[in-house]
Amino acid sequence: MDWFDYVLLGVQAVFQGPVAFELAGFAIPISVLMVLSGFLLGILVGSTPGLAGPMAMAISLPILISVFGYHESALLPVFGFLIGVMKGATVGGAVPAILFNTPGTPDAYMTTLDGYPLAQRGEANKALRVAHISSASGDTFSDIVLILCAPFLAIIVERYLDLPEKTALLLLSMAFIASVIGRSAGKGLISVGLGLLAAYVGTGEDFSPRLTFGSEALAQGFSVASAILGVLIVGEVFKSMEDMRRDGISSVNARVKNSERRRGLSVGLLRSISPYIARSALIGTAIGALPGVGSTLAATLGYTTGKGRHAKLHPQKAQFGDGIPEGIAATEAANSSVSGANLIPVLSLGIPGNASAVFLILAADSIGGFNPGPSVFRFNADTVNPELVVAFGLFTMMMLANLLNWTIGGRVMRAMGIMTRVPKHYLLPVILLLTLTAIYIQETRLVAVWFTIGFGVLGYLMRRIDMSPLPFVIAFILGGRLEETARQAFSATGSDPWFLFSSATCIVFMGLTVLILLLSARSRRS
Amino acid sequence: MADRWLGLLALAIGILILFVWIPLDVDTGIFEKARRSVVLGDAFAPAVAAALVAVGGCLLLLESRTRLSRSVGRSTEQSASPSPGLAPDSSPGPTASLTLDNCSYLLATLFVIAISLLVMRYAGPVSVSLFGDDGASYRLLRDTAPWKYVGFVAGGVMLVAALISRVERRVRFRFLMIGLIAVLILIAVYDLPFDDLLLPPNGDV
Repeated sequence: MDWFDYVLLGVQAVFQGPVAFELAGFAIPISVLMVLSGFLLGILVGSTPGLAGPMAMAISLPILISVFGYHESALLPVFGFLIGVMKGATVGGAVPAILFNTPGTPDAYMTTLDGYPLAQRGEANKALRVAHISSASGDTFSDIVLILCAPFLAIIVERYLDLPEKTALLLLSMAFIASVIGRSAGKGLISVGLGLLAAYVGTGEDFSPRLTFGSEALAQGFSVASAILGVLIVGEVFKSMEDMRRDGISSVNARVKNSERRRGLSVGLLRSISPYIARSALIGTAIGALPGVGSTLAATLGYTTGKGRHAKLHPQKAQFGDGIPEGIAATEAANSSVSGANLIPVLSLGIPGNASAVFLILAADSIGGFNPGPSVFRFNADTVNPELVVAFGLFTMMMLANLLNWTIGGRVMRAMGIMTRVPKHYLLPVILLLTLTAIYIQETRLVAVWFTIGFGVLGYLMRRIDMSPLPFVIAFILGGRLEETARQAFSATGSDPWFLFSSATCIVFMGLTVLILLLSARSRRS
Repeated sequence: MADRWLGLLALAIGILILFVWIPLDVDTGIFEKARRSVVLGDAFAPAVAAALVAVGGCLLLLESRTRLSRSVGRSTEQSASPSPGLAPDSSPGPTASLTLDNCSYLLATLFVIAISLLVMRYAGPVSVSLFGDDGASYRLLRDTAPWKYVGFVAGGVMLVAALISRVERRVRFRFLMIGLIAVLILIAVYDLPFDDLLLPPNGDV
């Protein structure tokens, strides 16, 4: 089998897989239906301030696993739904930012700067169309880069990196994530350390489980779902509820003027926003390919670069922040182009770069049969590598989601303005109940619910002391792999205690690990 | 200042885990001899994690020490010559602190959640003992309507309504209705279509 056969198998797995139902004589494959459902749900949650893509992914994952089971055939429909949510939420975040000056997702904050003034001038429709076309362009570009880069990066990793190098690479990734997420390398490193420590509770190779204080409940360890949902979702619910209790409940009462005729964007406008979209798509993709660097930074950089360029080229015209479409285009193309590129480290190295990627790994981990990492792209000429087929199925579904984005995304997005009026303080307790129920249904033991609440408390405290919980989550996921790779590397090098410095590549990786942490701490100090 | 304390705390926790918890609660050491070869023991990975916490604490101490000396220097300069060019740094920086208000809010929220989960856990068994047939046990009825819904509905409605009440600082009948609708939707999503799924607390009663 050659590469093209694998691509074909991936496409076939999506379009010729199990049929959901027939529509006018056409069989609708279940994977296609799941991408569509996820995409619509994603726009809905992205348009609702207080909700976000990862929340929807977290809540729907146990339902999806219940529906499709723990079989390899469940992988594509579940991934399709999660990919759909991820892409829909990216587009949807611009809706409340433009209509009500309230970013639906943190990375849409910059969109408010030009989107809201445009909406106030009665050009909300135009602003939403610009946001949609920029977001869809950035996202599609980013996916193409992912499809082209991830397999080659994975092949290089498999071919040139041995066990000690892989261990050093994992440490380098964690140091990088600790340094770039949040505003303090020290806090990032503490977060990574705590995540690793939580991952090692109740596990190990010895007969008696470690770090359990002799407790039966801890002997099974913490489930990935409890830790991730607790820290990411429950912690955020606790914090947001306290903020609303303290600051009062703000209601969206603003009315949007709608004096414009509902028509498409003119060729002239498309021509003027294109360079901003292209520049921001490049920035967002480059940033997205680095694990841990989020879409908010991409949006800020895309906006700032576009702003400087606009001021230089058109000093006489209205500038960024005055309510011009170029400002929306620069932000939306940048934050949307992060989502596809963020999967490059996931698929090629098995290292999640953001919360959405975490849920894809969690789904793969729960269902089984697909281990994101370089082994996915192991090319076998004689036998079929099922993981490679799933990977190409995943790429197919990403392009399908892009197609949906280009065709129906804009219409759905413009219809979601109403979601901004849903009171957030009613939603958050419901999300908490939903999360705890989802955990219980997956684990079927009440102690897992208490663990989730415990992790929620940790997530809340981390947010209050300005420590990002994302390094914790990523370290928790990578903890098991780090230990396993280190054990194998130690044995493979003949029990060499200096195995992390056993080759030039290892030394470079370890040197970079120390350098990144020191430079990051130094830059924060200055 | 808060970051300095956090750095010290992390350093202390890291050292405590490394030298007290790991030796007491992990049976094998950092290196172990197995079948005439040396392998990494179960203590290796937790030791690395604890070391990272301690090193993170040290880095934080370094960061906060420099910030503190800078802010002291800046305030001295400002008091000496309050020129407009030396406006105080308004950026929040990486420092954020946990206040007593935060702690009391968290404790009260946890109390509400704990009570709701206790109601969820015991409402079913209590209702069976009060209204069920003689000799009936909840364990046998935990997958039978309406008993299987009693705990989830009671605890779930209480959780949602109480938390909304805390945010709004008032109690309204409407909050109970929101809780009830949420619980009914969850039952419709998780319980009605699937025979093999158990709503809380029916899996371990």
